[in-house]
Amino acid sequence: MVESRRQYRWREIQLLLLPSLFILIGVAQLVLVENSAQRVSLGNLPTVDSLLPALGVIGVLVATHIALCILLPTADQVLLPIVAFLSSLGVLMAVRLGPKIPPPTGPVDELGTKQLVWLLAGLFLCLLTVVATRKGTLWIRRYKYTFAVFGIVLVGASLVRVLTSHINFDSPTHDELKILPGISFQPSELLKICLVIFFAAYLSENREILGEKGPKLGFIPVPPLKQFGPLMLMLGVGLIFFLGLRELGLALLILGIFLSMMYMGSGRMLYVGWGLGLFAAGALIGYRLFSYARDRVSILTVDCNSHDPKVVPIIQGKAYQICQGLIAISTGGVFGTGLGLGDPTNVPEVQTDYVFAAISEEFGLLGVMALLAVYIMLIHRGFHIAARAKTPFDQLLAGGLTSIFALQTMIILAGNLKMFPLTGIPLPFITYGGSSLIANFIIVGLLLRISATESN
Amino acid sequence: MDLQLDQFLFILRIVLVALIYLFLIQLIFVVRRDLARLSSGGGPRGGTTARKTIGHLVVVKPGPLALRPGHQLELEPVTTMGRGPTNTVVLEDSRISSEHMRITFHDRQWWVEDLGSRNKTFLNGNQVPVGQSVPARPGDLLVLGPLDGVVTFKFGI
Repeated sequence: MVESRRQYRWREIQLLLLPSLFILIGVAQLVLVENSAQRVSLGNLPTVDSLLPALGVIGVLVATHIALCILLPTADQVLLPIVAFLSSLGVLMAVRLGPKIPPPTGPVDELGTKQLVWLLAGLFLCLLTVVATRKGTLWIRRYKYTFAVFGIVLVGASLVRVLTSHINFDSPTHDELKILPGISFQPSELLKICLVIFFAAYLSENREILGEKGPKLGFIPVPPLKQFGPLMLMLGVGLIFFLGLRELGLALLILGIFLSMMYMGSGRMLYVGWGLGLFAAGALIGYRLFSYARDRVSILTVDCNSHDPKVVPIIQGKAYQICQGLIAISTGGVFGTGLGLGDPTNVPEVQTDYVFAAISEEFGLLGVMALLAVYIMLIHRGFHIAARAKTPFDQLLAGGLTSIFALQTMIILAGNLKMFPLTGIPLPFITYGGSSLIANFIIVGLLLRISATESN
Repeated sequence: MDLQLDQFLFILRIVLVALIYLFLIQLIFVVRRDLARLSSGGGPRGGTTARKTIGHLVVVKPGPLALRPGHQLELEPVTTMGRGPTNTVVLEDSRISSEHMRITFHDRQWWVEDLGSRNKTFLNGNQVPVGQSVPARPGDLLVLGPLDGVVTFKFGI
């Protein structure tokens, strides 16, 4: 039942209003703090020039909205405003943090502009995804092995680069692939999407067999090996790559995606049980193999307030980042210091790993709670789209892509709060960085397409 | 009207957090309305209380259907299955013909008829003849497609 008034996406533009206002006021406040005029009057209000990042974000979002009205008028209208809010907060934080990053890496005055360019590229690719799937997601399903191979080749390339250039096996590395001078890309971001596509296609074709009772090993039921084999192979190859790249966070993320998709596809706890068992084994191997993994776990037990002469060097050394992050979070308190008025740049790598700490210092517990609620709405919307999708492949694809967001948010927040070993997983849409923003917007494009072809 | 900077920033600070909450409330409002619309109008149960169900198929092997095994599919007096979009039950699979088969209810009984499908329809393992209705009883196994079938249903009571 397609109603005629759904032709124009009123609800979407209504919902885009508040995020636009949010970034406008946010940037205005940053400019005021920067100029620190003693008195505010109509004369020295921020000029249009200084509001450029905010106006850029608003312009890009409105353009995307108009493009969606033309390309995909029946798509979900809540998804874009949610990611618009999150990514405008990302641009806002980049504008705020860039000029204040201490010398070794900073100050980067144009960090906000860079993030805005990435946002533009992301939204463009989101629309491109929508156009590429205009005849449905069937072709994606057909090319599942191509996607799997493509993802592995991407990561393989950076694996070769790491193995040939680094000898030090105990430090974490970032898998970057230089495309052009000055532009590098993290292929693992695309690998996530490729793997979800492969899992979704494979599970939707084999879910009857996976749902049945399989063979048994004594009393313990075992998954049917013939159908399970290719999946395990893919998973194993993915994990080995990441053990090679020493990105244990990504290995964890991929395993989490795999587990939730297996559960969504088969509805059986058996697979979750086996997966958790494999995860425990993998975690133990990683812990034994890499001293940097051991470091990150041992940091969890460090008391940042300790004055013990044995502990102080650790707080000043290995645990410096995590302790500074916790201090930033606690400085914010309930109401926060106010945007631009805190001092979050004491935390190393605040614009990537610790953007959450910066947000909670400046917006306080109140702001962070609202932010988490927005993430929950994003995940709710994703699963809502998955539940209403027409084919099993679409359902699993939407569910799997949504779990990427859910797991990433969970892993990095737990890491920032010292509840879990810190990993280099980006906070979806907010963390500064092009690769993850672009990959996330490709996911949004796929979700929008699936929501437009939903049943009813 | 002149304001001290810190007062102005204090106001902006409150406004910023308030905006996030307003956005959240707006989101929840929209999503709630969406869900309410779904449960009142969109579902198969709501809105059509006048129509009495006369039988159902139990999904054994869902194939291209987004249903779990064991799901009950309500039957109408005339239910058609096939790949075409006009069928009551649309089965998007290349091995299913666009108008594959038809189930009808008359003379207090279910009747199964093949509409000339390429890969045949089977009732309890016997091929259903083209253009000729065969009676079906509860518990009968209905298979569409080649080999062990693309989709399998069981007639419910």
